[in-house]
Amino acid sequence: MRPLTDEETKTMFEKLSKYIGENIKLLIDRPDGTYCFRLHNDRVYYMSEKILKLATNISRDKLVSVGTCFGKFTKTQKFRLHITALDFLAPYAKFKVWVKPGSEQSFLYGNHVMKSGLGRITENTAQYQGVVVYSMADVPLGFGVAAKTTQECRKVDPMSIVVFHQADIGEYIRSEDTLT
Amino acid sequence: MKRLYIGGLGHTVSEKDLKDRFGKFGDVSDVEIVTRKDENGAPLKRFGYININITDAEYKRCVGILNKSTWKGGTLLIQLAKESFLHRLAEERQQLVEKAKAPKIIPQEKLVDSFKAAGVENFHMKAAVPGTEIPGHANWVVSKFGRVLPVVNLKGKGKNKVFKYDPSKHCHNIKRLETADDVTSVSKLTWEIKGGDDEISKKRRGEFPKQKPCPKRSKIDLSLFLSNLAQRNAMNAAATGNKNKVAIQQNGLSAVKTGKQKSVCVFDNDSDSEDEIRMLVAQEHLRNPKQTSTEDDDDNLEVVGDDFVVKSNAFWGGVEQDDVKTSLLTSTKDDEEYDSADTDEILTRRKTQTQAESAPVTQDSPTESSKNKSSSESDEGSDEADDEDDVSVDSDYEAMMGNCYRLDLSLADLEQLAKKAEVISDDESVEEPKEEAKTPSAPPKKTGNNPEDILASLLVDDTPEKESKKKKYQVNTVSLPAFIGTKDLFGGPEPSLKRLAPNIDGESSKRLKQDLKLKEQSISEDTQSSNRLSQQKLSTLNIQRGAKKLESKASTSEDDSSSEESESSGDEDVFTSKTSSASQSVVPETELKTVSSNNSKTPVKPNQTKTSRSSSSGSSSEESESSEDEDSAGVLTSKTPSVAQSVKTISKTQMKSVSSNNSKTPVKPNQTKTSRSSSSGSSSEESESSEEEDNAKVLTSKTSLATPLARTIPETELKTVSTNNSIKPKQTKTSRSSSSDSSSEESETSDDENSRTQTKDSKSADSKSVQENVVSHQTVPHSTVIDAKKQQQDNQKRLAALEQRQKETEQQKKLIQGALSNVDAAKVNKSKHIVFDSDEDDEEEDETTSRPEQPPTNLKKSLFEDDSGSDEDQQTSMLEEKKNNKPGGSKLFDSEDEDDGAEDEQFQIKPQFEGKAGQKLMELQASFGTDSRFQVDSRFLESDAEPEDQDEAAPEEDADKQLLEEKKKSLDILQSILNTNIQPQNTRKGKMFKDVSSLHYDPTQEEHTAFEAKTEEPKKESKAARRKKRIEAEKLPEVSKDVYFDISVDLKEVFGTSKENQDKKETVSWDKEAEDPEDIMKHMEVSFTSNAEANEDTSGGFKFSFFGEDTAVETTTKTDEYKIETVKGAKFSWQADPRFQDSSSDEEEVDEVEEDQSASNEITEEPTTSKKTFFFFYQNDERLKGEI
Repeated sequence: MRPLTDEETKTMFEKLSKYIGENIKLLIDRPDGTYCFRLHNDRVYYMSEKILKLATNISRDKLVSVGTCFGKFTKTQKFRLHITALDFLAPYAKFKVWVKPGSEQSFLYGNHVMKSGLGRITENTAQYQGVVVYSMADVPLGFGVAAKTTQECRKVDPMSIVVFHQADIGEYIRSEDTLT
Repeated sequence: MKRLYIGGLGHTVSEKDLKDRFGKFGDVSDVEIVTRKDENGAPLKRFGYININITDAEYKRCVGILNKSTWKGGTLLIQLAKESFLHRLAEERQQLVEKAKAPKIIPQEKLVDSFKAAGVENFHMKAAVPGTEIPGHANWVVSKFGRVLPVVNLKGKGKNKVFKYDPSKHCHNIKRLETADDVTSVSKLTWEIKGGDDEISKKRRGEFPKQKPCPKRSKIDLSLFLSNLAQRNAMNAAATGNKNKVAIQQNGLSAVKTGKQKSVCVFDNDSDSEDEIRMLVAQEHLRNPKQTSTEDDDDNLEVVGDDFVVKSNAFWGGVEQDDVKTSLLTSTKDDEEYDSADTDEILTRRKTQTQAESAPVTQDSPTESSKNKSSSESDEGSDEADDEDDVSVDSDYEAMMGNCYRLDLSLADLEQLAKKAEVISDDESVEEPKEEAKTPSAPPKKTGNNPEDILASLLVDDTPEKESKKKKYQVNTVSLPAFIGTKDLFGGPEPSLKRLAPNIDGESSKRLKQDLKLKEQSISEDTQSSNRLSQQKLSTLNIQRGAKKLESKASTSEDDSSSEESESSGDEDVFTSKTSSASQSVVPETELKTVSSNNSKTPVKPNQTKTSRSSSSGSSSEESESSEDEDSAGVLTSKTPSVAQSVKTISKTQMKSVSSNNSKTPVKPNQTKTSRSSSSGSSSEESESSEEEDNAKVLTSKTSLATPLARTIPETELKTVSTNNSIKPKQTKTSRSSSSDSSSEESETSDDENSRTQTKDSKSADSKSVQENVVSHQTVPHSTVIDAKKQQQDNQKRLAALEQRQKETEQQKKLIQGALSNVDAAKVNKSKHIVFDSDEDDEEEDETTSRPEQPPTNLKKSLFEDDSGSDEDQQTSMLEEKKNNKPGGSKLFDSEDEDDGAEDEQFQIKPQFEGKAGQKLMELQASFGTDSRFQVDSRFLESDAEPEDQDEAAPEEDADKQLLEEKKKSLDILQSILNTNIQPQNTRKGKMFKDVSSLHYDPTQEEHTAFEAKTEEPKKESKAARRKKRIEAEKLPEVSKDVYFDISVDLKEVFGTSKENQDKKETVSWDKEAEDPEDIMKHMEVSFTSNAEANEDTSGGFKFSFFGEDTAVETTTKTDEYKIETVKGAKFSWQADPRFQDSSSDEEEVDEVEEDQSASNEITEEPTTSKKTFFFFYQNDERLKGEI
C-alpha cells in the first residue's frame, strides 16, 4: 500500500472529474478529518487517516481491501472506476440521468440505457459526459457516460442508446468476486 | 480537255505568258494563277491551273519539254489536276435535271401488279393450301388464312448462320386479322357516362366536390416546424413549453413570409396579410397546444437543471445538506454544535424542510408540470396515452419506493422503529402526496385567449424562472456538502476534543471534555446501560415531540433544570453526561437544548442514585436554582437566553462570582455540621442537611446560596443570572474540592489537612471565599466525625475517578489558559526564555500575567518558598513522583469494582507523564539550584505532562504532516486538472457533517435515538420532581440573607490575618489554575507531618483524596435524595395526579424518566402510579382542587 504518484493521481482525478468535477476537492479536503487515497494491488482505496493507521498492521499480501475501493489501474495505466465508488460519486455528481422503472432492471443487468428508458436527464449534458444513473425514486443505480447530449436525446428514436453503461450496483452480485 | 497544274512559276509570269507557252500544245481556255504570300505579304510561291484541250500525245510531249524546265526564274512542274470545282458542280446539276426528266417506277406496285397476275389479291390468296408457292415469286409463300407472306432469311447464331423462316411452316402464331365492318364515326363514340350520385361516378363525370380549406393547415404545420427549428437553435432545453411559444412568436414573421410564398405558389391567394396569418397560427396553436408539446417531449422525457435536488436524502447525505443549511442559518457561532448529538434535531428539521422543499419545487417546475399536464390531457395520439400510463406508473412507483426505502431504514436499523414504521410511513405518506401533487396542482399557464397575452405571460414567467434558477445554481454549487464519514459517529470523543482544544473558549472546551470523560466512565460502569438506554431513548423521543411543540423559553429552562436533576439522581449515563455538555454547549437554540435535556431524562435507578452523587454536587445546586426559576417564570425567560449565550461567553469574572457563591454559602450556621459540604458546594450542603436536618434548612441554605449571589456580588444582572446557569463550570471545581475533602476524610488525616485543602479550594474560587473557607474549615472536624459511612465506598471510588477526570480537564484548561496568556504576555518575558522547556516559562509568565494586581505577592511567594528551601522542593517533587506511581493507587487497587479498575487504568496514563515531569523537574532543579522560578509547582508538572504527550505523539504528527502534504499535493494536481483555484477548507471551522449513508444504528449512541421509534410512557412522577423543585423554591424565600453576610464578615476577620500571604498567592493563581493552592497546601502539609504520612496524604490529596471526600459527599447526597422524596410524599396529597401538571408543562416529560426511581424508592409515589390509570380528569379530581 502506497500513496499515489503524481501521475496516478492525475489520471484518477481526471477520471473522477468527469463525474463530480471540482467536487473532488470535497473528498480530499474533508472537514471531519484527513482522508487519503492509497494504491494497493493496482487498486485505489479511499480511506481515513485512522483506517490507514490501522491498516499498517496488516501485511501487504494479506491485505485484501481497506477503506473504499474507488477503482483500479489497468495494465495500461488507465484508471477504471468501480461501482464501489458510487457512494462518493452520487452525492456530488454534476450530471444525472434517471431511468424509468421499466428499464431499471435492464440497466442493473449491465445494459445501456435506451432513450425509451430515459425518464429524466440533467440539462446541458454534453456528449460523453460522465453521469450518475438514478432510479426515478432517486436511488443511485450506477454510472455511465452520456452517449448523446440532452438536445439529441429529445430527437433520437426510442431504441437508441442514451447512456453507456459503465457500472451498476448489480455488480455487487454479478461480480462479487472481483469487487474489492 | 485536261486541267493541268503548273507549279514553280516565276514572279514575272503572267496568264498571257502561260497561255502562249502552252498554246503550242493545245487550246488553252482558262488560266488561273495563284500566289501564296507569307504574313508580310512577300510572295512565297506561285502556281497556276490551265484548262487545255490537249491530246495524250501532246500532253506527254508537253510534259517532257516543259516539266522541270526553268522559265523566267522558276522551275516548272506540270501535273494533271482534278477538274475544277465549279465545273464539276455544274455537271452534277445537269445530271440531276436529266434524272428528273426520267419517269419513276414504284417496286411495290410492280410486286402488287405481278401478284395480281399470279392471282393474289391484297396479299391474300383464297383457297390456297398453306405452303404453296406463288408462281413467279420464289420467296413468297401462302401461309395460314391464305395470307401471302415472304420467306425470310434470318441471321442465326448457330452453325447455320442463316436461318430460313418459312411462314407456312409456322402457321400457329398467326392470327386472323379481323376486318371491322361497322366503323363507328368519332361523333358516335361515348362522350358521356350515365350513373348514380356516388362520388366516384361524379368524379368520373368530372364533378369534383368543393375544395376544403386544408391549405391553412399546411401553413400552420410549416410554422410549427419552423418553431421547432428555432427551438433547436435556442438550445435551451429546460423551458420547453414556454419556449415553444416564444419560438412561435419569433417565427411569426418568418411564418408570414413563408405563408406568402406559399400563397403565391399554392393558393394563388395574395390577399393574406401578415396579421391574418399570425392569427391563424395563434388560433391553431390554441386549438391544439398539445401538438407542439408532444412533439417536443414525445416520451415524457424530463430535463432538469443542474440544481435538481435528489429526493432520497436519507441515503446520500441530503440530511447533511439540510443540516448544513440549518446549521448555517442557526448556529454559525457555535463550534460545539456539530456535536453528534444534533442528529435528532436534524431529523426533526428535515421533516419541516421536506415540506418546505416541496413548495419551491412546485414553483420551480411549472414547465415540467405543464408538460406533464399537457401530455396527460392530450387525447389525440395513442403515444400520448402511453405517456400517461407512464406517468401514472412513475408516480406509483415513486410512492412505493419512497415508502420502501424509508421502511428499509427502519427495518435495517431499528427493530423498535419497525414497530412504529406504520406511523412514520403515514407521516411521510402525508408528505409524499404533497410532492406528487405538484403536477396536478401546478397552475395552468395557458389561460389567455389572445395570443399576445399568452406570449407576454409566458415571457414574464420564463425570465424570472431562469433567474431564480441561476441563483439557485450558484447557491447549490456553493453549498455542496463535504463528504463525511462515520468517523464522527463512531470515533468517540477524541476528535471533538481535538477540535475543541484550540478553541479560545477554554472553559467550554474543558467542560465538554469532562463530560465526555464522564461518559466513558459511565459506560464502563453501567452494566445495565444497554437495556435502559433503549427505554430511555423511547421515552426521550416521545418527550421530544412534546417539547418541540412548546417553544416557550420557560419550558426549556425547566428542561434544563430537570436534566440537571436527573444528573443529581445519579444515573450517570452517556446521556446524562452528554446532556450536561449539550446544555452547556453554546447552542443558542432552545430546541437543541430541549433535545439534549430530554436525553437526560433517564429513569433513575436506585442503585445509581448512590453511585453518582458526586457529580450531583454541582448539579443539585443548580436544581434548586432551576426550581426557583420555575416559580418565577419571568426570571426564567430572561435567564434562558442568557444561558444559551453565557455558556460561550462566560467570563472569568462570572466564574469567580459563581465560585464565590459556593464558597460563601457555607458560611451558614446550620451548616456547621455539614461543614465539608459547605466547603465543597451548596449541593453537598443540601444533601447533608437533608439527611441530618430538616429539608427546610437545606433549602434555606440553598436559597442563601442563590439569593445572596444576586445581592452580594456587585455585578450586572446578566452576570448574576448567568451565574445561576453557569454553576456547571463551577461544578468541576466544587466537585474537585469536595473530592479532596472526602479523600481527606477517608484517610482521616489531621484537621489541618482538611483545612488546607478546603482553603485551597476557596482560594481557587475567590480571595474572599478563601477567607470564608477558613471559617468553614473550622467546622471540618465535625464533618469528619459525622462522615463515617463506608457502605458507599464503591460510589466514592467512582466519584473519585470522576473527580480525577475533572481534574484532568482542568489541567487541560490550564494549558489553554497558559497558552493564551502566553500570547498576551510573550513580549514581556522574552528575554527570559531559557533552554529548558518553554512551558515552564510560560507558566511563570502566566503567573505573572495573571497577577498583575499583586506584584508584591510574587515576591512574597518566592521569599516564602526560598525559606522552605530546596529541600522542600525536592520533597515535593519526590512526593509527586510517588503520586504518579500511586495514582491508581491505594484506593484504586482496593476498589472492588472491576469498572473502577478500568477507569483507573485510564487514569494511570496521566500519572506516568507526571512522573516523567517530576524527574525532569528534579534534573532542572539540580542544575538551577534554588532558583525560585523553578520551585515545584503542581501546575508546572501538570502542564508539563502535556508536552510529554506531545512528544510521544510526535511520530504521529509526522504522519499527519505527510498526510497533509499529500493532501496538498493532490489538491495541486486537482487544481491543475480543473484549471480552477481550489483552496483547502479550514477544517477546523468546517462543520461536522455526517455521512448518513454509512451510518449504522448503534443503540449505545445518543444521537441515534433519533432513529428510534418513540413510545410514550405515562408521565407520572415527573411531577414529583417538579414538586421537589417547587418545594425548594418555596423554601427559598425563607432563607435569610443576613446570616450570610454576618458570617462572611466574621470569617474574614478571624482568619484573614493568619493566611493572608498564602491566600493572596492562591487567589492570584486561581484565575488560571485552581491547583496551585493545593500544591502549596501540600507543601505545607509535608512540612507539618512526617514524610511517610505526608506522601500518602499529599498523594491522596492530589488524587486519592478525592475518593475520600467523594464518599462523604456521596453519603450526604444519598441521604439528601431520600429525604427529599419523603418530602414529596408529604405533599403528594395535593399533588395526587401529576398528569394534570404534565399536560400543562413540558417538564413532566423530563420527569417521566425519574418515575422509576421515585417509584422504587418511595412509597409516596405509589399513589401517583395508581392514579395514572385514568387518562384525564375525573370528578372531584384532587389535582383540580389542589394545584394549578
